[in-house]
Amino acid sequence: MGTILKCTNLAKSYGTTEAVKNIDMTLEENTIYGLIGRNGAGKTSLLNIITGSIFQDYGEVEIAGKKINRSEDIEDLCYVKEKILLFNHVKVMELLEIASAFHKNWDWDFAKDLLKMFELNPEKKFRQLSRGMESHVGIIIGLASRAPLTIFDEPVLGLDVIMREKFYSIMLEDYSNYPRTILMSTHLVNEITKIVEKIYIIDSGKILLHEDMDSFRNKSYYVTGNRKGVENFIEGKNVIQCETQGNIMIAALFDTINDKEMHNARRLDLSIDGMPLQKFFTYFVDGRNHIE
Amino acid sequence: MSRLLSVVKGSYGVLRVYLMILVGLVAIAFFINLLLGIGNINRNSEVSSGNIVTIFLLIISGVLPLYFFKRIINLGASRKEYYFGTIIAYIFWVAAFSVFNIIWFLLEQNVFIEYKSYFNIIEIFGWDRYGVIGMFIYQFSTYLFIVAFFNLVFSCFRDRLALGIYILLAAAISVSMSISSLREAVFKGVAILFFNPTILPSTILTFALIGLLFMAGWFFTTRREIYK
Repeated sequence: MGTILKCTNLAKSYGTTEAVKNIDMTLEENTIYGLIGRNGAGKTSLLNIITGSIFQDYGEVEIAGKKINRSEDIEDLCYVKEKILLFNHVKVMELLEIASAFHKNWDWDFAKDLLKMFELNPEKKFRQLSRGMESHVGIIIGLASRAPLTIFDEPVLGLDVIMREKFYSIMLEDYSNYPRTILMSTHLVNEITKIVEKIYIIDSGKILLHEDMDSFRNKSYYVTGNRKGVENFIEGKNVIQCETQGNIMIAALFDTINDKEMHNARRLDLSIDGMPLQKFFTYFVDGRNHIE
Repeated sequence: MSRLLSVVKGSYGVLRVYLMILVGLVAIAFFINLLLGIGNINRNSEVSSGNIVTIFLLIISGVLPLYFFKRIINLGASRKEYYFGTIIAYIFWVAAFSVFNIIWFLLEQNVFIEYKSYFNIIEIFGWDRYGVIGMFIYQFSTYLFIVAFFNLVFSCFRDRLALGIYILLAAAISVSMSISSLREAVFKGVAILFFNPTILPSTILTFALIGLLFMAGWFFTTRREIYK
């Protein structure tokens, strides 16, 4: 699989605050990525640099093999920002018409279907839209653009759970018909687990982890049982969190467990369960911050 | 729709509200004053409504760099498309207002004169000395120069380098206005550019300066960052 985005040693500071610290990031073609991090972790700064909205202090960004500079047209990209600033007095349909000119793969039939699916009146002016409807406009632009690299920054802000689920299913269905690279930044960690194929975890301007979701699922476990048994079992393993309640111990592992170890766990009467991404994220980021 | 045309269309979407408000207000004032003139209640000379409505050109040179820029980029335009599309929009509006002012000036001279007299910059600056084509060329080059200048001022908004330009500009204006010999030189320079009886050299010089101003505007546009 080819590379659609390559960032090398990206760094950006605002005064004395380092927002992005020497980030290397490579996105492959036709893959859905999740970028997760706490508020202020550097997600939006990183995305703004990748898309040329702001400029890195040093480092390089390449999209589809083309180095991005300040005046460069980035043809293969669609970036939907968290807060979509658009023209207040312009109708939704006019906004889509303008946006369509900038995206060579734009699909009008799909855009019109999306308007219906999200029950968005194309004759409404942008200033008349609620926060959720504004997010719908961004989502329609992002999906209908069918850009080889589509970046959503917190795309579901202001949407209720039904609309969020609708967005995820529409995106997945369209992605299966028209594969492309989608990078989605969000703080709704559990919701993206079923969508993304790979994740990047960012904190304090640094990429802490990048992992395939399949590989992640095979490495993140809770081990629960009597204290002595758990302690024996986790020896030499990558433990990211440990809790004890009386004689019961719960350990959160980020490590592989082979068949022999599984058998051993059963023998020790330990239960092994998968760990949700959100829990892993909390332990992983919080644990690192305590250590630092 | 081509990308540049899309930028122009987007700019119209933003500007039409300002245009409607300005034209509406000026039209109301014009008709009230005309009625007063017809009724012989007030026949005092007034500033031409065509000239007043041309203030719109100042509005666009502020609104497009300050408001329109980040929004059109959010819709997918590149900085280059924004800038060239914006220049096309400037040229369109400058040409449209130059033509409008000629028509309005002729109406004032031939129709409204029965009831009112007007101060019109075309007459004051002597832009009518070469007929309709001369009126257009003088206006077009002068208006475009002003638009290009304000476009630069607003394009470098928030840029550290621009602070130097602002300080230089403020210093140049205050010094040149306070020293009489400099004041005369400034007026001479302005006269050469905009009211010069020899239309060709002054137009060429003005367009050269317009080109420089737009180039400087482009330099600052490539440095502008969009955080939201």
